Amino acid sequence: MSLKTKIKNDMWQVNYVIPFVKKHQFDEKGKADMLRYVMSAYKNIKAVKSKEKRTVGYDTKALLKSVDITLDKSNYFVYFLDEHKTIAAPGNILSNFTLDYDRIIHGTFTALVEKAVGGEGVKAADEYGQETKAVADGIESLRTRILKSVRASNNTYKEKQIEYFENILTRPAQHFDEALQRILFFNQIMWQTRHRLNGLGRLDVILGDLYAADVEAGLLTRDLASDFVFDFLLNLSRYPQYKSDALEGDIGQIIILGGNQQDGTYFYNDLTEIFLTDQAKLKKPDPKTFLRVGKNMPDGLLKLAVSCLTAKTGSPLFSNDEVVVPALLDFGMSKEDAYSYCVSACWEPYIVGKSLDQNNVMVFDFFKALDLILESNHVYDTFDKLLNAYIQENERCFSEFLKSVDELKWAKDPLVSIFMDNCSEKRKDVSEGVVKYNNYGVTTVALSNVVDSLCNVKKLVYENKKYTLTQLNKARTADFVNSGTEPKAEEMYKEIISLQKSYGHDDADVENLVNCITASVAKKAEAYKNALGGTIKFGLSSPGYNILSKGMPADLSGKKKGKPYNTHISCTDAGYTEVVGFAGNLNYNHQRFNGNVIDFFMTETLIDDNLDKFVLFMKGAIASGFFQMQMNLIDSKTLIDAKAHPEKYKGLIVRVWGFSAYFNELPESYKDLLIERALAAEKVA
Amino acid sequence: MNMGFKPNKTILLTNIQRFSLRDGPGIRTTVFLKGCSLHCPWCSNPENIRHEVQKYEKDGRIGEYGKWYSPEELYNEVMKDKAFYGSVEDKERGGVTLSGGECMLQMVELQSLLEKLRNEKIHLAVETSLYCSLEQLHIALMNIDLFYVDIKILDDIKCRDILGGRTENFRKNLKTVLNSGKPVIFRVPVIGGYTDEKENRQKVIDLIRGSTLMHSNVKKVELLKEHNLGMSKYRSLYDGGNEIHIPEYKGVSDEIMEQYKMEIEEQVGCSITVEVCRI
Repeated sequence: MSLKTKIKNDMWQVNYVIPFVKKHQFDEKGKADMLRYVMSAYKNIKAVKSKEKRTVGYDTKALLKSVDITLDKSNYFVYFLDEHKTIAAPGNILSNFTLDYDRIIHGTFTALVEKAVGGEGVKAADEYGQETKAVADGIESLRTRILKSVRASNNTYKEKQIEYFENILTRPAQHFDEALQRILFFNQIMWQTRHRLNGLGRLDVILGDLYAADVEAGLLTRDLASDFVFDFLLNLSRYPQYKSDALEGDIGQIIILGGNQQDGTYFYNDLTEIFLTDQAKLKKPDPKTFLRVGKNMPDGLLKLAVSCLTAKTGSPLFSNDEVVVPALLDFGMSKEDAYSYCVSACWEPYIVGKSLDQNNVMVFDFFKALDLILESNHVYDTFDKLLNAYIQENERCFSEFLKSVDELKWAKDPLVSIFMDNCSEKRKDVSEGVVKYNNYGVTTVALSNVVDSLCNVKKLVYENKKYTLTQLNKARTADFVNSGTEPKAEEMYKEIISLQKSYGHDDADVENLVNCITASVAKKAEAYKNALGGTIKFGLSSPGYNILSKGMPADLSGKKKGKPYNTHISCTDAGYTEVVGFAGNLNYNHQRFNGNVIDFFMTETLIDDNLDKFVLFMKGAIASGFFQMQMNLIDSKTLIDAKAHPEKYKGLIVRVWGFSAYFNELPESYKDLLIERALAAEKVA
Repeated sequence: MNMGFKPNKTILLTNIQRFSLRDGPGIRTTVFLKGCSLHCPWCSNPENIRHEVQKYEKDGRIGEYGKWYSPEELYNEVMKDKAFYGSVEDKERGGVTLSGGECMLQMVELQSLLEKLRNEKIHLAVETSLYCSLEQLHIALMNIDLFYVDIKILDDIKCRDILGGRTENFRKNLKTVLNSGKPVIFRVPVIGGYTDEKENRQKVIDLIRGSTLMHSNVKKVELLKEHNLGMSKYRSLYDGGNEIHIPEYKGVSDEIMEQYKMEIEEQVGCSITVEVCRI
């Protein structure tokens, strides 16, 4: 077992430090700086231990009883985090998912707890029941203390706050704003208890009836609802440093909107538009929106969503239900589940209330196997033999990789178990694999680099017969720098970069090659069973493209040693429709649906001047069958100036992986990569 | 799959620009055909002047300008974006635009492709200077839905000396296009020292006025401001060893552009939309 996995699995103290280490690992500032950072973060945070019993439930209770309460006089909602206290419970805490908020909006938390603590025929004193009770006591204590503080305060919205907190656990929400407060309350508890990347779910679906009833009763207007939503989002955007996972902005408070329905119609309502618009108005990297699109959606909504992109927060991300839902059905999900999908923090499909699915457990590198094959210096007399050798080696690498996934263990999570199907019925914690879906998801990097390398080799070695594979490999290992033994390395590099890229162009041969490689991994994935009885899914977009590549040598696609792999599904010399056409011809079934995002760069004026054409573009893209798509609306000139004069661009937000971040906060290598990609996009546009 | 096309690679082009938003309604695929009947000194696509494959070296990359396609190959390429062209019901139906170089010079070779695209209801446009033969023009008129017509230099002698064209040829062809009733959009490149002088401006305005008075199919006038985006292409050709004259752009002020727009609006009348396009 790797040290990292061991730490994550068992040792809370070091485990607790991991998010800070992770954050700093990406910051590229060196080890001494990292140590200083971790020490200072660690010094300011106290882990609260239970004096009754050292379990997750009791530690949660002790923590929630002790967190300091902060009220903001003019805030409509109550929302705060005590950034100086955390849970002491050991273990690898489940994260990167969404609580089923519907259960405490249209039902009550008390009812969920009653069911969990022990109903008829269940021993009230079993471990599961005790843990739930401890968590519920902690939440009740927090609620009571908040209520007391609000009563003693001079808060502007005191009366409403008292009413809503009096009933927050015991009655279904009666009003739209009451439901928003309820989501905020449980969201804050999730963050406080060290859950990371907490999503928010299909809020237009969940809140639609309360909104409509309040409007019908004359208690709410669309404008007032928009004000509530704006305040709700503003509250969620607070504490970005505490909440961020890897880089600042990697927070994962994702709101899912719209979507195809089983009857073939497209779901949306006023709230779909309100959440899209208010998120854009807020101009913060997080919370972020995720719009499920489909061929029957109205042009007006598509136009609104496209215009929201010009707020330049990186939202919304578009997810094509015409492709995603069939992939989920192919996986064996019921129609009800597939059509109600949400996603983990970025883009990995996830079924709320029914999934333990940990969709970002590790990153697989497609290039490793090609590196090994090239290094072996074996002579392949045909391209097909080389390709077969790569595929076999890659399968072997993937099997090895899965062994480290096997070692993951999860801490008990009584809080999350309360919100899940099956846990109370089976008297078992969610971490024990009792819910409907217990899968893992991995992300992958470098498929693009592998495909481009293979296509270049095909051309230069097997078609034009200009070089041998050994010659190319020697130049590659020399990082394409001329030397006495490699006098032609630079010439070879020039030839390689003169070739058109392959991955991202809608060429049938390239698409077949990609599908062939992913199919071989899919075969392994389908045969895999994890310790909880689930399997593993993978996708072609990943945060790891700039981290895993750092230790890797040059490839034959034009990437030099240590330089970033290609980002998600993108291509620096293909146009927008071409990349969409390419993505539309890839296969996403057989467990290949763990997020497959096209990543585009566009300038703001391109959309502003052509809004109607972009609606046509999105409609065409939906019909072409892309999986998911995100856009960075920024020009290279702005990015170059922002790198040179950060003080002028304090609010500049860019899309990084599946999240957005302030450009100034990013490590230098990310800034450079974004500039490079913006320049390339402007060339092909 | 045999689609009834001749298999020969007879069409020479340099680029198939997909997701093109400036060359007609909707989302389009613009095909840049290689070879031109004129040699405008300001040309921003110098790689499209000669009707032959040319080598280049640019940004450390080596390659060739120009690739031969059969009609079927080109059909397959332009149909890749069919999903984005929309349908006849769409307010703004996209399609295919032929540009260049002078796309009309390859009309005979393009004929079977255009007929097929027309049968499949793909909207077709050309960007042309109309310096072409009557035969070529007739093929276009049979198939093309929208004509972007460049108006460059209208003085007979200057046109001959600077561009290498006969204005008589242009005027005759324009008349034929206008008489056909097909929609026409005039594109007027405003180039310092060549087309922006008062005398030429007046000739252009007179031509537009005459055209709009007699025909209702002139939809718009686009004034294109001089730009030097083609410079890197000139250098890449030059570095490749070809003798290419690199233009010296004198520049055109925004004031001239606005003045030109006003002059057209005043003299032609408000019925015509005049748009200033800056790249």
